[in-house]
Amino acid sequence: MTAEKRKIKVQVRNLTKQFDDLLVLDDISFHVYEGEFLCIVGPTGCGKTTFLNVLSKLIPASSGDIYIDGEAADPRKHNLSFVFQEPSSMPWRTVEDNIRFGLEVKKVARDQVEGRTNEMLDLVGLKEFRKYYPRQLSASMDQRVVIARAFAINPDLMLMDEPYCQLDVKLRYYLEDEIIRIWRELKRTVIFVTHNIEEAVYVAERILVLTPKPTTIKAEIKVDLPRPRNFADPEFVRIREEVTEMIKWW
Amino acid sequence: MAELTSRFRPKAHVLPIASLFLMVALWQLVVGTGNFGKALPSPMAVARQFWLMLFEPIGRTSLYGHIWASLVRVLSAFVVAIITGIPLGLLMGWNKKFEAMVKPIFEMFRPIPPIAWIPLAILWFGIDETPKIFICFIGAFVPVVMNAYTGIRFTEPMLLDAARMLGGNRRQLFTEVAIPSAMGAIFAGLQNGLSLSWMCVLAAEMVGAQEGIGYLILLGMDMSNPAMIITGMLLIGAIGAAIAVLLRYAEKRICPWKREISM
Amino acid sequence: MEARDIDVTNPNTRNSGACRGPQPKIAAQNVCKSFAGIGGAVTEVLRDINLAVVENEFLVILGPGQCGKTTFLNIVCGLDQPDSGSVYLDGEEVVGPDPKRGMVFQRMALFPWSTVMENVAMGPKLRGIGRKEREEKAAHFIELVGLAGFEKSYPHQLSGGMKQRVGIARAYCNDPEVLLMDEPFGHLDAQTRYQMEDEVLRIWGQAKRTVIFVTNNIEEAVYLGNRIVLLGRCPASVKAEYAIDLPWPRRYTDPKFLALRKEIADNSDLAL
Repeated sequence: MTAEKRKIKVQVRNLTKQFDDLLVLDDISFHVYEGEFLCIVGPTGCGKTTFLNVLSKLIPASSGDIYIDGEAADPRKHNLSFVFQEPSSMPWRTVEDNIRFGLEVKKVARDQVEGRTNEMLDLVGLKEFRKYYPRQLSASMDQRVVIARAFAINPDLMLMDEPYCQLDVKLRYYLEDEIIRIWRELKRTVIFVTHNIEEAVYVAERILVLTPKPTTIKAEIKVDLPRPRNFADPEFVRIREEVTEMIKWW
Repeated sequence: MAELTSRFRPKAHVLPIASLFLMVALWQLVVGTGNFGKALPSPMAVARQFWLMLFEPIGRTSLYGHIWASLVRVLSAFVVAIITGIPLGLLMGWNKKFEAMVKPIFEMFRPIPPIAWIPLAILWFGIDETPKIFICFIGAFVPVVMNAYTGIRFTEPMLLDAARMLGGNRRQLFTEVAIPSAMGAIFAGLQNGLSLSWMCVLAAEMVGAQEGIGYLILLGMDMSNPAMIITGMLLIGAIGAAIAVLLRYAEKRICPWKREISM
Repeated sequence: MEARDIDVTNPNTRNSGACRGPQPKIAAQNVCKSFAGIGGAVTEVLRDINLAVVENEFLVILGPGQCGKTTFLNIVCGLDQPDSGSVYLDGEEVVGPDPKRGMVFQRMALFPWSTVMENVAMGPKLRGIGRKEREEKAAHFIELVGLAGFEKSYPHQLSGGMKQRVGIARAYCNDPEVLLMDEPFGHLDAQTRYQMEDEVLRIWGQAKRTVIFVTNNIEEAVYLGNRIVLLGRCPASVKAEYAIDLPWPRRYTDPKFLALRKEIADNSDLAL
């Protein structure tokens, strides 16, 4: 399934962000196809977090436009989901209440809330833990709650900011497989930011490589490998080395 | 991020000043209605009184003399509280046996407010400077001890492990790790202690004082001069704030490793 | 660096003399440890750990998270005591912490009130060495880890990678015979981690010590170690040992490297 045949879901044009005299984002333009899994990698300190914050409208851009489905991106109209590095589940709510939270905020109808919550619990495999509190769960389960909550509202765009970097290597690989599985089932558009190039090559359909500040897009690399991917596969290795070279040499 | 904070500063001053202005205006308004009569002086009356006090002696000495008298009492009390309180708190936090012995006694005396000590203070020390300093000392003592105690208790175990790994003995763990680690809490205790001690100065000066800001307030009450009372109160507030700022400055110099939490 | 083929996992050998090869620098024999949890439940964390480390070897202990690796390292360091079994350094039993065994902690554990110089010089200071002497020594190690110029900085002013370098310099400055590293790069982002892995190999090359490096990351283990000891899940015991005979500098994408990674992954409860 090639991405080009799909329509464009998100269009970013000339996005610039300036903090006083510090230019962080410099004229970034790109698009994301509907249902695509896009990865963004870059060297340490390249403004990835600022980039995501601007993209999700948490902070305003200095100039440039973001369009979702052809209209200007608006957090009230469009469903944007954000998954952070640290598990951001609400400790005072149970697992199912956490998942319900997004739906409540978006004022979804009562009966739909229940159905959707059950679907999500099934999807992430936490059905028997629905009445548990986050502190009773392990770190990977906690992140799964956050992922379920993020996907529950049927987001137009799902933004994930290094969601697994704090986790054990083993959990990280498990959750990478999970996110791909969930993504395939729900067919949502995902932008996944990471430092870990192997992780990027493992999950992405396309990788955008960023430059250090002032940040622009250095390159776009398509990853057309069949899933599940094998890190020892020569093609995997080649792509990984290609991306690594791009980030190392500045 | 530095750019952001520098941009906000002028705005940050406008709001507090405007708010204070509003409060004074409100005050003037309330006085203007005449409902309180002589009991509530106008802001202008208070300002006038203050101006007078700056140049004319009140009682035995000038305004500055009164301020100085109160300051001396509080600072002496504060110094004694530091010298006795910090070691006590540190030891309580570090040594389990000592804690078991001393803490219960401390917990018993802790809830007793400094004012309640006045009769006993008079009995023991008469009515010269000592009972006044004693009351202020009681005010400062409790927070200083409790904060030093908590500071030690919350020493990060990993830091102690690191020092043990490097070959430190128990005494060194105390002096090189626990105490520096507790500095933040100790200073918080000093801030609390000093402000509490300063607040006690009025109560302390009720015990036969002839000088001091508390004395001024009491004098104002005797002479039915509410403007003097309010001036005294505002002075207590202002000087209290000033010493707090000085203490914060001292902390920054002594503990340069504390990260700035601006705004 | 060639790996050595030493078989010390046989639990029946209780004497160090029973293993082939030179006298091990560190020998752990039948180390067991359990912890009492809340409500009286006892969790067995380490079960019959037997391993030996040769002098100046870079040994990697690989195991899944929460499986007792840190506990084991604490026992080797002397910060914790085993319930049964013992650890020996040069034949002498380990009973408490000692400057001979320096540790680099996962969460850095730098003293926030001290500058970089003061942190690094802390070991000699605690041992009573004079200021001038210890600062000279510290300066040497600060330079070795690549932080020359940052002597007067405080930990909160440093990045994660830099903080960990200070941790390494601090452990080195105390003249340890053995360096213990407890997942020191676990909390760093991937790119910084790769940099630090190269750094630690460079530092080790320039200042040879016996190293025990703990990690849950197979790639990191294969990149760094002479030898890898694989621990199983709780209760952890030695599952397998691997000698890595790849020359340094190693490449993450080398086919032999990847094959080794796969082999270890298949044998463990760890992910690839």
